[in-house]
Amino acid sequence: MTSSLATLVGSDLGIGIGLRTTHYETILEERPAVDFFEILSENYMHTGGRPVRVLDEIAAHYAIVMHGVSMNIGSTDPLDRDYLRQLKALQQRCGARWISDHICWTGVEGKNLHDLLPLPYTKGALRHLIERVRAVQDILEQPLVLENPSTYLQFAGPDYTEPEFLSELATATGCGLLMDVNNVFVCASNHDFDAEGYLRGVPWDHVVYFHLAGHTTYETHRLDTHDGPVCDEVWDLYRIAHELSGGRSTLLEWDADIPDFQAVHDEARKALRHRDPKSTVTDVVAASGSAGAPR
Amino acid sequence: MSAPELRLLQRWFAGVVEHPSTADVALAESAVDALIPEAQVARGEILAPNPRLDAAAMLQIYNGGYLARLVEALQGDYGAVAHVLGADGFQDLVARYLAEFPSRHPNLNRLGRCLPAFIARDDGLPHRAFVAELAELELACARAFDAPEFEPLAVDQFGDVAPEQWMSARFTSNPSLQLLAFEHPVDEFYQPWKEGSPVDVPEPLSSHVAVFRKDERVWRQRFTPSMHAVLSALVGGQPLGEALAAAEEGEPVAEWFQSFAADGLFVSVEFGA
Repeated sequence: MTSSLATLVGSDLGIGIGLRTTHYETILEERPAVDFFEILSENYMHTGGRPVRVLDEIAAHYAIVMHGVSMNIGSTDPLDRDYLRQLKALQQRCGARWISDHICWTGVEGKNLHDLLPLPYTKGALRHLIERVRAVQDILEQPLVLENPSTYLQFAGPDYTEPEFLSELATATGCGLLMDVNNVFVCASNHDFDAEGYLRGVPWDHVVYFHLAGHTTYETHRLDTHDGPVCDEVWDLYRIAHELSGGRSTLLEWDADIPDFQAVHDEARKALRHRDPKSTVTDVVAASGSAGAPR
Repeated sequence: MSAPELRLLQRWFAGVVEHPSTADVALAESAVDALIPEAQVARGEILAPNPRLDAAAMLQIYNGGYLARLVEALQGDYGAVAHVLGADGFQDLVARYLAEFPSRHPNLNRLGRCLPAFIARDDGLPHRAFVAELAELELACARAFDAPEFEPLAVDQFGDVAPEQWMSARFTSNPSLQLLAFEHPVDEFYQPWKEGSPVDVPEPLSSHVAVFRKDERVWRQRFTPSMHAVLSALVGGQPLGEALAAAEEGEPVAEWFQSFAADGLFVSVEFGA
């Protein structure tokens, strides 16, 4: 494997932002001080036009990590080896530090439903997932980083809680974990469990980075929409997660109703205040005045 | 839960998610019920109980998100078609399309590849013939955007090639180039729509458009029938001399060719013996 899990876990890249098309011009023209960008892998696959050229330029100045939505790791369909090869080629092109996706399935019988669908947390599903993660890691030649999903239902008769499932999976495969703190909060609210207790069950020695995002609250449930700022409860959880982990790279996602780059950047930088209670946003601006971390 | 049980669960779940109606209707449908009986779901044997949502309501979150997400994705590629059909008409079209052409690719940018052909035979669609051609133009733009990377041919590097040798030259076009012949003035409708000043659906009138990528942007260029014929012949592999013969006498074919080359429409050239 090209990078060990220890290397990934030990690489605190700082505070990053999800790279979105609407911000391309600002980033290319102003080169804002951002520690790293996370790309949506599929936006740069199966295309040869502007997206890959823009990525080339951004990757020349910033650290990049990859985050995908179509690996379909939990499906009972065969692995899409062509997709995995293209994923690896993209990583080689942009020098991404790691490749992440979600603990979910996205389709079956050859169809892609383009949604992050829940898995039952059973022994059988765990065995299936372990086998698939190992196969993917053999192809990618590196630890795969997998994110805890937002879910809107749970299957009856589970053998594990979600943190237990993550621990078993990570221990058996050596994979990395992407801890989405907003997803923890959304799921805790939807499924009536204690979010802080969840975090205390996370295998932190496998957690490579954090995700933060906004969500939408309905009368009956919360939906992971990434369409607004991070809510106070999620910041509180992030502070706890930061303490439990000892510090990890942190990434803000904003995918709908996306404001201008500065607003997204300002929201992301709030993470520094929660990582270090003595810090203020003003201090952060001064501290991060250099260009992004070089590759 | 064994792998076969997981597969059954996923097939059932997918059947509910992609059902064109709602989750409660899907659960009762025979094809879905045959995988996991609705009664078993009702008894709480499949999904864990939730004090705020019953099983159908939880599944509806996924069912409702499926169509909304794919409508939004297709609207990105087919905005002009959506404008003509209206929001409800476009959503209905997408639902019919997905029933026949569900996504089978990891990338959403491939989802709409069959939509123009589907529209062309979608009985009852308003302005069907025009909308099918409009969809074809929008698909061409999407394909040009995503076409593989290429390096345009710099024709001026062949300054020492004799004029008669040029007549035998065969060109390879860049992978983004698409030549479209329509029975409606499609681009004359599309351009005002793109500029925010949409016009009425036009009456039939023959038109020709080239779509290609240049400097990482997608361009549309309206052609006369002669220009279309000449470029089609070149793209089809005919030598330059024969291709230019497709033009009417007196037409400025040399200027056309220079324009094609300047737009980077070719990536390589081979000279005949």
